[in-house]
Amino acid sequence: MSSNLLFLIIYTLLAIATAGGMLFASYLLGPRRNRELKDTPYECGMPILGTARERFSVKFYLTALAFLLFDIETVFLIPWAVVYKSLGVTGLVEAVIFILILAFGLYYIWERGALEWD
Amino acid sequence: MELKELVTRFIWLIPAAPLAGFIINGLWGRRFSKNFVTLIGCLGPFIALLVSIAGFRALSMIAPAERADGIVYTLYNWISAGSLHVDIQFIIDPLSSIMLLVVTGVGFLIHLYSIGYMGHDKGYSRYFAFLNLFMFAMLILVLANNLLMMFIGWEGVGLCSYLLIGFWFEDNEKASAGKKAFIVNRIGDFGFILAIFLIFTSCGTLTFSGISEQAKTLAPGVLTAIAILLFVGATGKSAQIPLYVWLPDAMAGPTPVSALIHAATMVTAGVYMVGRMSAIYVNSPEALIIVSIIGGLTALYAATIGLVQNDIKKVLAYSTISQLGYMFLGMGVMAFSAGIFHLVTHAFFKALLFLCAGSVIHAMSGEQDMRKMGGLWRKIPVTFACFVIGAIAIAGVPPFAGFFSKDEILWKTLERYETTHAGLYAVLWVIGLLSALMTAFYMFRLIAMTFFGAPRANEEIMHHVHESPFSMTSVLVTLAILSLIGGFIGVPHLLGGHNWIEGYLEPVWAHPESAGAVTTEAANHSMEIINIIVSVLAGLAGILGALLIYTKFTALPAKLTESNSGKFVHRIVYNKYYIDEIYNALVIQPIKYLSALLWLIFDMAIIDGGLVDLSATLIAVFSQLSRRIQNGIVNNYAMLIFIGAILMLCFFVAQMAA
Amino acid sequence: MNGFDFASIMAISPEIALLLTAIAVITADICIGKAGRKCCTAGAACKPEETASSTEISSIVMPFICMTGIAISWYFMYNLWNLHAVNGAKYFSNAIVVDKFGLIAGFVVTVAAFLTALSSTGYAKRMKIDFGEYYGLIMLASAGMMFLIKGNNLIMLFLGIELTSLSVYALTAISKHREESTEAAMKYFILGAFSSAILLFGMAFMYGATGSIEFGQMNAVPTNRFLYFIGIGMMLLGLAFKIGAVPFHMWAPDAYQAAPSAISSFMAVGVKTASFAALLRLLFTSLIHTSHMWYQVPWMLAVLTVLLGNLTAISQTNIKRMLAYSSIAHTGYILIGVTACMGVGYSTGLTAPMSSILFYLAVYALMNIGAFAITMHLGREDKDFDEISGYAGLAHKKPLLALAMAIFMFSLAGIPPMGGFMAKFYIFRSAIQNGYIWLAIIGIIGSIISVYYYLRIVVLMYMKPAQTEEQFESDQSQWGLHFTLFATAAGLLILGLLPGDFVQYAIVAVKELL
Repeated sequence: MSSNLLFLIIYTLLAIATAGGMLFASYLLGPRRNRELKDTPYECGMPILGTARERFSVKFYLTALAFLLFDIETVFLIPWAVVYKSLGVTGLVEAVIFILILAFGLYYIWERGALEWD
Repeated sequence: MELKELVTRFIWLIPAAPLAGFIINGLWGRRFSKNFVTLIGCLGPFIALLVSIAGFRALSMIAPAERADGIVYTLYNWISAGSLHVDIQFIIDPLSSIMLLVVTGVGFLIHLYSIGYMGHDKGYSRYFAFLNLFMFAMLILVLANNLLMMFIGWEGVGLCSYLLIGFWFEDNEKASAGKKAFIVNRIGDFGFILAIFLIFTSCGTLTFSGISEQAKTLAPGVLTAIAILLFVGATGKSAQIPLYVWLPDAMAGPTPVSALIHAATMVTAGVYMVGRMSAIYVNSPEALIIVSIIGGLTALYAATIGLVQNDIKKVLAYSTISQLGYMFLGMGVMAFSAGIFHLVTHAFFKALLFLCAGSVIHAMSGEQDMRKMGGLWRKIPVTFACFVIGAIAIAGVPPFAGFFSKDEILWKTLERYETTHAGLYAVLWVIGLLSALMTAFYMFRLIAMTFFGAPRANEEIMHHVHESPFSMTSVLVTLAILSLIGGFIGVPHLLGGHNWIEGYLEPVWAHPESAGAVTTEAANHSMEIINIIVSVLAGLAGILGALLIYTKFTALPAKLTESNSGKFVHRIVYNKYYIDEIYNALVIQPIKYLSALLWLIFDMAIIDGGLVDLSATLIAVFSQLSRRIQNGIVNNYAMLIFIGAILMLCFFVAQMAA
Repeated sequence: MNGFDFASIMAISPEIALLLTAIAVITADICIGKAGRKCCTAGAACKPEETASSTEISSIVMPFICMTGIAISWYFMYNLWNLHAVNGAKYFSNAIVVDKFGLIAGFVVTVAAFLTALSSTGYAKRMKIDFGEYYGLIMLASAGMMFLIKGNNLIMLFLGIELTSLSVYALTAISKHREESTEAAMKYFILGAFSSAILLFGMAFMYGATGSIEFGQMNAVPTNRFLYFIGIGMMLLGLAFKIGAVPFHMWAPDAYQAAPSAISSFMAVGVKTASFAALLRLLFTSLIHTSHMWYQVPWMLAVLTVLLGNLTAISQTNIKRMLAYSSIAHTGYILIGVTACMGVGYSTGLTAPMSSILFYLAVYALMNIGAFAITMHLGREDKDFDEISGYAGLAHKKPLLALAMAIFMFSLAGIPPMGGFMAKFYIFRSAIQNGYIWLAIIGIIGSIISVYYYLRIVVLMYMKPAQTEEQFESDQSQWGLHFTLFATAAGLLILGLLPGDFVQYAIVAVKELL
């Protein structure tokens, strides 16, 4: 065991040394020209118009979240569809309950106005 | 057995009803009208009385052989910690049923009496609340089926006693009398609780039946230690030498309180407890001897002080101490039934005497000094008649209640004369006789000074003297009847009775391994007759002597105290043998100095300076430091979790490597 | 086992009841709350009195739906208690286990939910909280906790934790208009996701090492010790985060302070109880046989948690933050109990510490809910009454309220005759009996330190004058809160004075687990 551990330690040290060495080497060897143009996102592309950290409307997130839920529903239902014959009535009832719960969720967010854009 | 089931189901009502009264009056009493407070205050004890009577009835329907097991009801599994299992469990067996009737019966009567006596007090609702709380605690004490519950009741009655002695707490002296009672009782309770620990470690149980079974198997030394520690508790609660000093001061409380707590019920708790623990005592002859000696000495000693007191309630207080001594004397000679019998009759006549004294004080506009009374009997005839009945009862004149019980104790003491320690029991018998004589003397001295002769109070007070209202006198008459006939529950066989109480209580007591020496019946009979005649004569002599001296030869007492030697003795006895002063010098002052010294060295220097301030400062510093960790930046939080995770993984890796 | 036989449905009937209640609450929200909300969003054609009456109705109706649902789930639990007299029957392919241990822990959790709903009757309206989301999430969180308690394999454990956690994250942020609330929820969420990931990772390792995810099946000798122990370490870490053990406690003070008080107490009590129940089930059905390798972990966590929790609580000026640190400290005391389970000769001495943990959790639920309820009672507008200095003189203005607060503080400090004393007593005693005397001493030192900050509040209430006249004027009808305060205070006294029967129940329950 202890020899294994030794290997582990050596391996870890090597990994740290390699990564650190690379960073250090690029720091030593890399050329540095600090000009304003160098710091822009696209050095030889279009000029920047504003900050990249725009605020998106919260509606996007709501729709995305709702989408995600139904995406997951699909992920569940496809495997069920593959074997649904062998699951029989039990499987059908379970799947219906699952879909009903999701449908209820959809109805709820609808009523609460999550899908209204304005 | 329908009644038994019914009683079993409702035993809890006995303590719960007064408790409910306490809660209702205690919380909202001030907002209620006086009548409603009265109703609530008296209803609780009344319900308890009814259930107690039902319990007594149900118990009598059980075959005598099974009575000792009693009616047991487990309310709740209270503590369950390791091998210690304590239930909240009530028991009605012959002993507790008798005690229940006394406590609830006399208690209820005194509640009624209080309506008139405390009617004009501004703390009316508080008074009834405390009185109900006392009933609750006392009933828990009586109903308990294990020592721990009994201890809860024991402490509870102590607390109520403190609250009620200091009821008029605006008066500094009365408040400190309450404190004195509480502190002196703590000393006794210390012994009691040590005994509980010792019993638990040696018996492994705290239920009474368990202790009775285990008692025989214990080592004699342990038994004696337990018995003596328990008795230390009893001397505190029941005011025996050397812890009796609180009881005379306790007279600062309202008179009904003195009657209920400091005469009829609470102070007899020690006797009750010794009775409950009879299994321990019968197996420890040494402890029995100590109990009987302390009891006898207290009886005599308190009686001598009673001879010269001038405060009407103080006389009764010392009389109570003396009578309690009698009960312990009875317990000490293994006459347990006789001791409890005397407890019962004493509850009747001493409550009566106190309530009569209360009526007198009421009539005299609060005056308690007998030297300022006299000639009252025409003005308050009912009180006078009742007082005389009570006094005859306590003096031991047949057929009044006190005669039977006192005679029984004296006879059992004398009977022990046949066994070992003959001299001791002979002396104890003589002491008992002497105190009986003195008891009769000081009671009738009290009557003579209070009711006979020329009035010594001023015109105005005499003008206001009036008989108490019906609510008070009716209680007096009831108790007077009980004092008159109460003794018939224990008429000895010799006088053609059945001694019902002895047979009833017999199953409860434990019996010593070797039954005491049995002498021939005939010899016993002649001895018993002599004992009765002598004790009655002693009582009569005391009565006659007191009446003669304090009505005919009124100059005699003064002459005696004027003479040189008489003056000396009188001063010592009048000042209660200077016991309070001696305690003060030997115990209280040294403790005060020692505690002041300890306060300076330990509290101020070491604890406050060193430990407290230093540790507080250290903790405050650490606290400020640890508070910094929580700086609100979520990155740092995650970092800490990450460090924790790394450390934990390192730990496991190291474990595996090891 | 087929998933649809009657017994299986009955086995999860309490949970079904809670979930259906959640749906009922949400439906009610759609039906009743609609009118009011339309007005607010549409703006123009809105009658103010219509909005007000709709709010009024739903502020009463919704908690009642919740309480009814919880009562129904109690009925089902009672049935299960009688039905499964001795066994720990398993359902749904051994994913769910029904035993008395789970039922008692579940009862504590649902009592907490019940009291939360009850005390929120006036509170939620005053705090301008959206009722439908609030009560719906409370019910979902309770259902999650119940599944967490009943889960018999790692997947149920994880699902339970996630259902609980997600609901609680959202509940922390329920006062949407308060910035600090959102911020704290965000922090809680990020850290919680972090720890959940670690927990899941650990479960994967565990499965890899033992080849099973079912409790009781994982105690075969691990094929790969490395995976096995890394797995244990990561799972312990994930659960330590949920119970708020140092150094994984950082979310607690921020979240407790920023969430509405009703939620803070529900979080502290419910999550703690459920997580500890799951932890005990996991440790003592599956991992105990290797405890000689890792028993130091709970040991060290306990020491750190007791000391840091108590020390930091001293210098707090906000009572909710103080209670958060106190909650951390109480986690530490319970961890002492967990460690005691692993003491010498644990096969004989396991019932005492485990039953004392159950008892502690029940007592803690009452005293914590009570203390937070006081901050709710005195609050005004959309604030809780959380400045410690504000409590000065409370006893002179509102004696009963101050008395209740004093009971809670005494109980939290562990002073007899309150329930907190008996709870601590049982925990420390079991630690001493099982050979962890030093741990018990550290716990007692922690308790002594804690007396300072608990009693400071009592001193303020009783011995200092009030700062202003109208300081303690609260502005809504609070019968629900009054009942909560009375029930918790009375419960603490009963548990303190008469603990015997409750401890017996706990012992019965624990014996079934083992």
